[in-house]
Amino acid sequence: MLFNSYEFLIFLPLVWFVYWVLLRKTMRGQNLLLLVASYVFYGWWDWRFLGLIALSSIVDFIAAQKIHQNTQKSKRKAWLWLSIGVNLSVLLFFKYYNFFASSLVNAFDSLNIYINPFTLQVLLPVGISFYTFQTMSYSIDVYHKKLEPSRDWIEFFAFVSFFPQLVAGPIERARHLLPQFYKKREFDYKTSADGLRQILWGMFKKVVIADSLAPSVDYIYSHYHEVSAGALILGTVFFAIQVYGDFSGYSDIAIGTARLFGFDLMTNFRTPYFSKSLVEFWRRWHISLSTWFRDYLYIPLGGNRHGIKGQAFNMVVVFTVSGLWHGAEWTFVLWGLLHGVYLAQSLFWQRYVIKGRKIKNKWLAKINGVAMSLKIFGVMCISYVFFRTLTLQHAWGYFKGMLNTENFFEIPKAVQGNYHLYFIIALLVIDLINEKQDHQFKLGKVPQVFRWLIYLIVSVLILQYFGSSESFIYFQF
Amino acid sequence: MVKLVVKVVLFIALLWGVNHAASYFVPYFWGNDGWAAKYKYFQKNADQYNVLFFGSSQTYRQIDPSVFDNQLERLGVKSYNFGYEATATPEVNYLYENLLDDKSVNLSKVNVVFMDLQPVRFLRSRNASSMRGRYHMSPANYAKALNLVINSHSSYSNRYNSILNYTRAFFDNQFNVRSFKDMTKFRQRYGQARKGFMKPLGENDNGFLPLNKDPQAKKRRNEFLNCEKWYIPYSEEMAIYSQDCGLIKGAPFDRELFFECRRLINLSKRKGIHLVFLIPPRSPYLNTTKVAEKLGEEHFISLVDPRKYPKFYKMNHCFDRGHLNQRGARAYTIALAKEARDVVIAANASRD
Repeated sequence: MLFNSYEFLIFLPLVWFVYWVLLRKTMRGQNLLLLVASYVFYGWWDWRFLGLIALSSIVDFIAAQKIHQNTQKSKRKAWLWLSIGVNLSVLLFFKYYNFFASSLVNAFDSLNIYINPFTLQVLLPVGISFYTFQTMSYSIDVYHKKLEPSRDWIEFFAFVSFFPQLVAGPIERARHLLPQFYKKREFDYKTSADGLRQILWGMFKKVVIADSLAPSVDYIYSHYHEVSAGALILGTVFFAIQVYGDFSGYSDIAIGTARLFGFDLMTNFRTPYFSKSLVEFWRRWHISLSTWFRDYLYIPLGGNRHGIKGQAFNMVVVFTVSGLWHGAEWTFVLWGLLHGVYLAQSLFWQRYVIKGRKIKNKWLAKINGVAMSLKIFGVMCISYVFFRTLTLQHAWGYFKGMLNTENFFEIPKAVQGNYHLYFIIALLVIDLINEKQDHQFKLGKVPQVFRWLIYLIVSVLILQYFGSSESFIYFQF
Repeated sequence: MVKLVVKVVLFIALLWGVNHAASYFVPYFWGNDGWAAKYKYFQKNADQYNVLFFGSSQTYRQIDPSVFDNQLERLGVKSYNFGYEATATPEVNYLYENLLDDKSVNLSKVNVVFMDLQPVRFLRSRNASSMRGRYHMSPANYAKALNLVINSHSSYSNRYNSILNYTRAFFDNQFNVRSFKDMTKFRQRYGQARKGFMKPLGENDNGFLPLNKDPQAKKRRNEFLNCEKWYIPYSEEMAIYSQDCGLIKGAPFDRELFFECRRLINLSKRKGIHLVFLIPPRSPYLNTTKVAEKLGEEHFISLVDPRKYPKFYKMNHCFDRGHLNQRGARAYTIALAKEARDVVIAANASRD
């Protein structure tokens, strides 16, 4: 089920009503309802893959108990590896089997050795990268004794499949989300109202911004060999805004929906395009994934404990893996590698060239800040070409087209005559005003009449773009 | 909790009001361009006509008012074709009812209306999200559509999907989802009334446009001729329709459709109009014959039976599987005029 669908418009109030009105007094009943609702939510897309979530939940539930019960390190480790092994096997099979099989065939092919390709038509289960990472973090945390294992299967299964964040995150840490299932939730007007506001803003970003940009982006990327360099640059800028609207919109709806049920999910985006460095960008973009990689890959690899060279190497490894996490394509790997290399070189740059120097003049510092944000946005736009294109040849063709100066400013008719610019400006202005808030639709200081007027305008705009049921970009990951 | 619910309900009501207000800036038929073009012409010339035709493409493409008028010249008939592509139940009911209530149109001379008898249209999801699928989904029309779908004899899955799609179209209609742009563009098109927009009026400005004369239908014709699935030899076509006509007695009776037809008949009667339902040749809805028969002889004409009207099933009379060509349309209109003579005489007499 998509958040931006008619089904969800019925599903959400229905579950909310049963949750708060009929099951208000029974926490276990509420958890069971969330579990059932989450399975319905996921099964609406394809019920056959519910088995995978159940498998992941069963394995991790049992493994965590065993890890906790055993005192012998070797046994504890064995159970941990069983948990990680099962989760990674499922992920590798469904997401990467064909990628590795075809890459192997191509590699042998280039050596003039022909092997029989054995590829399968495997359908990628939606959200598999998200919930497997979430459950793995649970087992690892129990292993490191940072968390007590769950004793109640309903709570645990509800935690794994919690519908607001099941298919595209935020990837919650068990330490943060799981204990919330043990506590009795009380209805809080302010939290719920704020949740609704966040849902509204998320819908605006998804439906009005991302979905209205999607046709233009699709057109430019599929006609990259015909359109001008200006259009190609515009295409990648539009895609940067589209992917931000789409994914941060999803996160806002997820967090807002969770709030309606008395849950607190971690913030996933903090106006990332205002970042002044790539390090800062990754602290503000898809925070739940960045911190996951930091906690469970970067630090175990050694983090910054082995000198600047070791740190740089770890960064490249982590970002390459992060690229692969996004998709089983060489374009994603290259996208991740590009980020890793950029971050690694900026480490050396900071250490040996800048050496902590700061601009003292307030205004110059501000101008420098804007220039740095623009630079980072430019870097992101370039890297997004790899993110959005389908193959390396496609990406190469796109870059080549960007260097062609002939009819530079010619914009295709399919892209003209839309309201893109106005919506993008509205998004940037609201993001800028509420940059420091946990979400950007906090209008507490605005008089109520104007507040309602803003809600009304935003809602009318959503309705004018609603119903195309464009899937979320991050569902494919 | 109550505070939140009350505020949400209030907000939704306000949102509905703001969005719904946009509907007052467009006429009730704003989602159907072809019908709108016909209405625009008719509005100015309504006092000339005493017979109207309503329905889908089987009316639009097959009933030629000039031939009909010619056949019934002595009875002083002047007719106008309001048929348009895919204008079936419940859309046609909505348009007809609104036209009857339309104070800007002079219907004083109209005494007979012929309408295609079609069962309720099972709305597909791609049509539910279209402008045509939603513009006529007023609360009354939505309730009507649901009633007809629920009580039809179609499969459960068909009915279930159609209920969902109608509900979606109803929601879209009430909140004018994705409609502002379409409404603005419609106002422009309707105001300018360019040649392309007015094309459904046909060559004689009477609402008849045969498929042969419509360049856009050329592709349809080629598909028909080149597709084995659709092209069936005359003898087989005859056999299929004859067999189906023979099976009508055993077919289920659509009670709700019958009540809807009766309602329209009574509504028309109040305006001094005699309503007659038609089952045209090559109609895929033979089961409606049972409903038509129960409405009474004076309220239905059927020309679907190939045993009685074999020429409508010959290749030289057809354009594609479900439609006649210009020659077929002429033959059908003449046959219809013959069958309608008594009805028109009776209607004229009652008006006098």
